[in-house]
Amino acid sequence: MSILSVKNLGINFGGLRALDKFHLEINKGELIGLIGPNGAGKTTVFNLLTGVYQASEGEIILDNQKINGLSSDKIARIGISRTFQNIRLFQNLSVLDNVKIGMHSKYEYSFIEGILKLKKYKLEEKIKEEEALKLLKIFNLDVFASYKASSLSYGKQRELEIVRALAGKPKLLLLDEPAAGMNPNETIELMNTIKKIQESFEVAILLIEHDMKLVLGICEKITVLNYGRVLSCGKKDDVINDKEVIKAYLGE
Amino acid sequence: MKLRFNNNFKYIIFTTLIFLFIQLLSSFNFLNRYYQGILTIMCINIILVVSLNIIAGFLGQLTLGHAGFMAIGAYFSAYITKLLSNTYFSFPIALFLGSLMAGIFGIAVALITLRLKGDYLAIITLAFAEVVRNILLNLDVVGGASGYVGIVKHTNFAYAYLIMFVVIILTISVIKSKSGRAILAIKEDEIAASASGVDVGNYKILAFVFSAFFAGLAGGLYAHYMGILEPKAFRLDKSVEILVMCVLGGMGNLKGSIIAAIILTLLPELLQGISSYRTLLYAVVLIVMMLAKNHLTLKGGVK
Ligand SMILES: Nc1ncnc2c1ncn2[C@@H]1O[C@H](COP(=O)(O)OP(=O)(O)OP(=O)(O)O)[C@@H](O)[C@H]1O
Ligand SMILES: [Mg+2]
Repeated sequence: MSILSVKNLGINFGGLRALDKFHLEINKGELIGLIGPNGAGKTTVFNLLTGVYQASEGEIILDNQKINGLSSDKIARIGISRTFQNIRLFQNLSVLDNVKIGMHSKYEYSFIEGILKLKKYKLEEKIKEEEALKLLKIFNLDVFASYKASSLSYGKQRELEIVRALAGKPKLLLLDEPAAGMNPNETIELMNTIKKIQESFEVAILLIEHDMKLVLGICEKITVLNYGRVLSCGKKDDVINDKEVIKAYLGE
Repeated sequence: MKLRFNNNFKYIIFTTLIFLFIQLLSSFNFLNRYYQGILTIMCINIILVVSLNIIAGFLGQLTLGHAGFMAIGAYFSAYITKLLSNTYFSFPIALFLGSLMAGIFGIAVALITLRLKGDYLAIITLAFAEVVRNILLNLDVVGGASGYVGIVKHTNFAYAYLIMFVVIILTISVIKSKSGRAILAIKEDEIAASASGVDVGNYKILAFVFSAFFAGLAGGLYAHYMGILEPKAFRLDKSVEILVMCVLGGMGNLKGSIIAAIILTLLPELLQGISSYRTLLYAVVLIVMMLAKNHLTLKGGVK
């Protein structure tokens, strides 16, 4: 059952062909790795999928719905959430508020019910707060709920970004180098948690990661990018034995 | 982010007590008309600073056109009270319609400036206020350059205080709801906000409408307090004056900006005796207050 289907995606930045004939299939609940050297176009894929950039050509279909040209917020509401390579938290807001904003589109009370603080507002704020705290527990961040996001350590900020993205109940979660800046132990722990999230939330995950070993550890399928093109894709065993991949990525 | 008035109930009791106290003082003639006038202006200034805070503090956009929204509310509400002459409800109706008109202009300004930030937004909003003022200068129906006279003085302290109270409560409620969080998120990071499902454009418009509506309300109160309106009251100085209160109190800090509005309303009155040095002293006090505030912030005293 395909949840995301990308065909022939391409974008130019001035003279630079940052992405060319990119394609990707993700099934429901799958965990897929997206790897490639610096500047290969990985983050650009995320920016195209989430409407930050508009593709020059190609097609993105999420759950049988074409999402090219939709705004970022609409795409988020339809079901793609993401984290950012350079952390983009709401730094001056509390950890809890960061997660609540991640849930933004799930609140049902109307604007008027909100400012008049009617029953529905109170009830929903309470339920959502409990939900948010529960999500924060995944990374033991609930104890920091009232802290400013900026006061968290770098690693914890990355984890908070994942929680915020999960809060929108996405069908597809995009993680852009979530382990960047973490030490080896933290990284292994994070990868295990990501695996756990995939299973317990039944969410499909597309994971950008530099470290090939990490990706091989948890992903069933891998897509390799090089100079904006798909070098190889498919089951991980096939990909790591692909001659092109060995030549370009592993440099042998 | 810690919210300023955590306990609404405490806040209601507190403001009611202040109100009763002031009413008591006036009924025993401890407060003459002059002092009541200052208190009324103080309430109007508080409404202005709170409303500006929605755009400048919470949404994080620099605007220099607040006096424009105030002017629209002032002139339009005055026009309506004259139109309805002596009907019992003419004042509240006029206040509402004046604010509504300001709110509509808020939508227009928001739509024009949707993609602008920082200096560009400041310049456009400044231009907006100047255009409004120049139109008023040439609009003979409302007196043009010679002023709009004969507005019935409906505004009294009780009216201004009640409306100020409602404006503050509503603003806090907005900020504490999902809409307020969305607005704060936009200030922090627009890209992350929209990636979280926040419709950035809509919430920018919402912030402008609310802010402009309340500024219009303050304008309506002002018009019916003064009894006469002149376009020159809504020059850039006025926008800057409100912005200074906002900055002094700490952007996005309601309690702080209310205190700043109180101090900066009283200051010129206190300096009246030494009228020739008044503006100079006003500036000096401002600088000292800014320095003191910075000092506290650096020490971690004000968070
Ligand atoms: N907004 C932009 N304007 C111009 N060029 C861009 C823009 N965004 C990306 N690029 C270029 O497109 C190419 C791909 O960038 P991208 O960020 O997608 O790489 P990446 O695979 O994520 O690399 P890294 O591993 O360093 O994060 C790079 O050459 C980059 O300089
Ligand atoms: Mg990248």
